[in-house]
Amino acid sequence: MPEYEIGILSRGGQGGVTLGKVLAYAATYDGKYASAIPKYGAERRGAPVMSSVRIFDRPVKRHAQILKPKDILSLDYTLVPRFYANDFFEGMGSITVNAAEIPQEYYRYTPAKIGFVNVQEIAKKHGLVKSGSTLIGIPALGAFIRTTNIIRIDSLHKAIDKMFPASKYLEANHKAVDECFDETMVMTLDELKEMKMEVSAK
Amino acid sequence: MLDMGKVEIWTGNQAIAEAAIRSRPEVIAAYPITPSTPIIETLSKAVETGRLRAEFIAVESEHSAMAGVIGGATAGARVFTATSSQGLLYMMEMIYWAGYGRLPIVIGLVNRALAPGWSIWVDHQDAYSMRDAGWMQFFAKNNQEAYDLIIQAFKIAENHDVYMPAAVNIDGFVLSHVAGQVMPLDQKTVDDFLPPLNPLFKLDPKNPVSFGSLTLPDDYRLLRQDLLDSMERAKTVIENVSKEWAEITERDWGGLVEIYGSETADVGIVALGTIAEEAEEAVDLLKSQGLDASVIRIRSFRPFPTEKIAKLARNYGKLMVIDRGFSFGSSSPLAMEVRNALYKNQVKVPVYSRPMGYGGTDVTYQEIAEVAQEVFKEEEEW
Repeated sequence: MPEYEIGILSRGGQGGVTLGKVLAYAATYDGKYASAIPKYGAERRGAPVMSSVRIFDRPVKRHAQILKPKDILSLDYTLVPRFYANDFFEGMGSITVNAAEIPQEYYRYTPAKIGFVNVQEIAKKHGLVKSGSTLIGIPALGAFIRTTNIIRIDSLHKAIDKMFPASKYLEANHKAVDECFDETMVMTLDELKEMKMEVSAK
Repeated sequence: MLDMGKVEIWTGNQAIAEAAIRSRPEVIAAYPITPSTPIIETLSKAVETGRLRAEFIAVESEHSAMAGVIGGATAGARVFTATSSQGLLYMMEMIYWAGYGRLPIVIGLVNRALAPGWSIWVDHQDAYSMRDAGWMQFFAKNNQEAYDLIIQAFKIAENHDVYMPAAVNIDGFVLSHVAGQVMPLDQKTVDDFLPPLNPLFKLDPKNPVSFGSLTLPDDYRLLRQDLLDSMERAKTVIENVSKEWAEITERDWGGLVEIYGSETADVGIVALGTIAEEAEEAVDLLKSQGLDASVIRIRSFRPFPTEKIAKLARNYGKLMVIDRGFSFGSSSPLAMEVRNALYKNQVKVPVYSRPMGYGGTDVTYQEIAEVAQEVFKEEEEW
């Protein structure tokens, strides 16, 4: 009976709250039950934010905030250690991170999988730039789905069409999502342990 | 199973605004306040774009917002507004005018704690402040029920056996800003369920009468007695409208009360709103530990289902009441109601008051289960 409690770590202004909604629509199109919880209260640009999403295969009856999500998407790789100083994964769940390689600070965590890809670069390549900042949120969801397999990538595309029908970035987002999905490297816990040993041997 | 292609991911505020639009209000007078502001914004936009044909009056205060919809309702229009917390307190003089004036107004009340200390987060103290104003008070446990309740509230409020205002309560942020799955209804379905308002009385220049004039004690007593009687009749109307709704939508939320779990258990957990749905998870958790509990969710706080609670209570070993508010110098408002219901009907079941979740404190199902475990062990003091 899969029940996913997902955390999206971002900085105020990166659209973490909107991403929760997109993910909830995608889960819905996949026939699942979902809710998207923003961080309540004051929002400030640039401040670390966690929004969360529940995706269940039964109606979601939980309303409390998710403090320890087991599947994390981080738009900024520095945020995971900032939110979670200690490991709590115990071999379950996942981290998907916008980074060209797995940051060394992540060796302390023990999720079943870590997925990583340079979302920034892919988003930029597809022209997802607005007022000088790169729009990485939607493409990052492609990476998240690759890492977690929680929902189908087709459902994500459908959700993007639903949420942003008139956006001039619509096509670019679809393409960037697919490229992020294709380019995401996924490491299992065993592979991570090996990597960690290699690093400490050096 | 939901038809997932038609489901929307809406916040509680969006659900309330969309349901209000479907209900075709003719007058909306409103003033924004966190966390209910997005309801007003959505309605204002709907009027501006022509999606909703209504008079939108952007007023300068909540007092005027309620005065505006009182004017509309007195003229025989279907009216709607929304507010929260301090906004409701500022509105209070007019809230009583609407209740005692018997106007079928519907308000979306997004529950928020009262200041000071300044808080924008949920508790139910604002709702309790209007307890005796002659309003019906309904509480939703999720966004779908919030949507459904708005449309039902108009139908109940406008019923000639009832004819009084109704507040639909949702927990601030916990529902108002959390996006959940909502299956909207098409306009025809809502129109068939909710015909246009047929005013019991209204301002009519051809047939002038005065409203709210000086009333001598004997007549005043009759007015209040009529309100008491109408509240009693509302109980039946609420049950019937809920049944009709369930037939149309296949969504049965219960009438005055919804039970989760068995109708006989060692502990019945009584609660309002989202805590009651969270408690359903607690009941499942307790069951896995071999403990037998159920949720008794009060959907209608006014009128309060006194007889129903007394009847149900006989089947439970103990009742545990979770309240998100206070009555200083006495016990918590919901526990008082439950005890009153039991005493009135000579039901001797212990009631344990276990308030949680003030000023936005998160209440998890694990915490509810922990508190319930203690109640299972309680022997005397209650």
